[in-house]
Amino acid sequence: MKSFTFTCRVAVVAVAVVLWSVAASAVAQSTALPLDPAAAETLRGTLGGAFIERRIPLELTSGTRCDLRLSLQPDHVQHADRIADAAREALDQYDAWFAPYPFNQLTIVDVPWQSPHEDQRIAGVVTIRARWLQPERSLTLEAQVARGIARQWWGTRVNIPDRALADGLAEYAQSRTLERIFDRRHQRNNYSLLETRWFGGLVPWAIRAARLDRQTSGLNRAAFRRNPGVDLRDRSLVVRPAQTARVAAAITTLERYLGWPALQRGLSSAVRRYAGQSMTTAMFFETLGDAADRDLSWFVDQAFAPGSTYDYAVSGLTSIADETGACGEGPCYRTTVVLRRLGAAVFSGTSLLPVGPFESGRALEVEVRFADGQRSDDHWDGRAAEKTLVYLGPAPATLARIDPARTLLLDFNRLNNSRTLMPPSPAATLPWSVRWTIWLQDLLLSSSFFF
Amino acid sequence: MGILRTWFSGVWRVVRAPAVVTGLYVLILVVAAPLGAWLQLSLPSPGVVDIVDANDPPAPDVDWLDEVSLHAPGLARFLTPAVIGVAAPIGHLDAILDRRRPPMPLLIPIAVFFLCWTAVWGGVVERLAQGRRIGVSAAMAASRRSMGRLLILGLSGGAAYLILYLAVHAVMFGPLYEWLTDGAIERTAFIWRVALAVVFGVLLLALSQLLDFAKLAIILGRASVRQAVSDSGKLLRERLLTVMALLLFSGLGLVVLLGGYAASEFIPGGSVPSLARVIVGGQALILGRLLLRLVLAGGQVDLYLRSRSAS
Repeated sequence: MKSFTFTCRVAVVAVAVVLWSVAASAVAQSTALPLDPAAAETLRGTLGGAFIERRIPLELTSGTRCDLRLSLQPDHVQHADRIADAAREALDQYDAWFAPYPFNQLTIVDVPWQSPHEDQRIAGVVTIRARWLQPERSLTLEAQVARGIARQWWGTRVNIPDRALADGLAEYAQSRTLERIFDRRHQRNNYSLLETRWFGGLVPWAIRAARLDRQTSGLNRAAFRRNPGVDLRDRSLVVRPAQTARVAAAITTLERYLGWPALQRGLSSAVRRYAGQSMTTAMFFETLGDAADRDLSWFVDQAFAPGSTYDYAVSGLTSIADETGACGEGPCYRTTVVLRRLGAAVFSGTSLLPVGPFESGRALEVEVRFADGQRSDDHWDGRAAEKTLVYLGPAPATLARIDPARTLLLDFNRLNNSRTLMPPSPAATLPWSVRWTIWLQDLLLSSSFFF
Repeated sequence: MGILRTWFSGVWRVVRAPAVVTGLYVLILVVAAPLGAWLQLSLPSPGVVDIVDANDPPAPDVDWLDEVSLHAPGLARFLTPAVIGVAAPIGHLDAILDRRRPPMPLLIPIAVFFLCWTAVWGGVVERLAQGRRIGVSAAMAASRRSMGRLLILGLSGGAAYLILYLAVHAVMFGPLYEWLTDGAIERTAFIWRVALAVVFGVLLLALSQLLDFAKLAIILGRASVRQAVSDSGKLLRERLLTVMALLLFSGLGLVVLLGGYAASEFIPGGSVPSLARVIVGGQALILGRLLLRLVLAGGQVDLYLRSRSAS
């Protein structure tokens, strides 16, 4: 009898779960926002030329159904599977991270080569610029798809008047998606391989040794590095890549500082809170702060101030024998580490001001390693122009690093973040010198064609 | 049959002159290696590398490289991912075709190499022409005898190349290419670019062959610069097919060499090779390219000598 009752209960629960799933799916379908059915057609008409159409029904992990339509250039049809795969991955991830995909249809329009047409924000429509030749391990095509789809949340679902914020959020989102795609396809935790183009940009080559990292190359840190203090209010197109990279690096810095779960909660809250409304940069970071239960104004004010840059450095490291007997018996070394803030921006970790000689905030980590294998981890609020740390111990220091975990991706010069007392090891740099020498030898031989 | 005989004669002349191959290889190394050492000294450490296993090296850090090229002093500014693997030689060939010159400071080693190459080329050609050991003094005498005229020819040739690039290349790959590809799909643009590259490549090769045979006329025929160019033009007109075949063989050799070098990246462990593998593979490429250059020169010498004896 007991067994029968239990079976009945299980059956009731199972039926309830099934009914709930069906109902939730139906609600998801019914809550999909209406789309302008002529938008994609109008866009294709504006772009001109012939398109090859493909229609792929998608069912996302959440159960949401989406009708994927591809409008491809005739010479790009071979990329259809890659585009569909990237779209599926992006929709799946964003659906889980931000909020359910708001429409029941997605059209990806492949803009003709050399078209001067500027990308537009249209609900349910994504524009990409595929290339005829596209190496398999270079995911530049997938990046465009993932970036465009992210704009369906950041810019379309949530109206974002600040172009840099919308671009930066899309850039950040695509970097995470691409890492998953690369991992799934090649079983490596990378963003993409580096793609170089020859013959007027028409012939690509993916450099197999140059595996790109999501948190640097995936955010186009090179563009940010060349213009670290870019003004985010500047509307010119020339500075757009630097602006995008700056915002994306700022969001990734928060991901590393707060942790992905807290950031993801904040991103999801922002979409839900401002769906169908306008969201300013201040509103966005306020929402992130609410979700993480932290005040982030200390970061936002500094990270987005025009002309303001982060640059922390270890400017001095000395370790000398101490004869005062401060360490008791045995050898004693006095190690002095000098840290400097070279940029105007401060990465403190809190808006609370310091009280007297006491620092406020511990955002910056300082790592000092010693010859006997010991390690010291300290923190700095990064406010003062300079800070000196003194250690007394039985062994001399070998290395001092500021921000060893590379949390602050907005630090535009990482080369000065560490200092060592060990003789320089050529192991890490020698391959580059050797490669460069071979490159120069080849350059000389190629030049001999002319003489 | 005569074409193959000329090419094999070139191969044979090079095979019998290992000292020439070694000497030119060492010359390339002597110009490049000190700069490589200088670069090594100016490279900052990419942070802490706790464990570096020579058999399993870390993948190159492209972001660190970008940082170095922006912040580091000296030659480190010219270090880019383009130096990795087959991207290096193909990038150089592409630069020739696409009119991209190396960074200004690197023109200095190229100029030094030009002077050294011109200084020894007389001896190299004399050795290839004799087909037997001639001794260092005879080679140096041949170099001394022709160096001045080779220098004038080289500089004049440089001016001719400059005109070719500034006048013809700029028009072909500028307004003409844009006009041809206006509204075209990328595949069509590629076909147009190949067509234009073939035309421009033919012009480049024609000029290079004119200069190459003029050098032979200076070294082996002891002609004046003007006479040498005239003789060279005449030889090209008379033996065009053989010259084209020599170039074709060299081109095929280069394709095979670069193909092999590129394929080595796909061998297990080849995508991020060990340092030893980078050195061996890279030097094999340089040696291969040098051999191809010398085999072409040997074939040209054979053709020049036969043409002279026939006339």
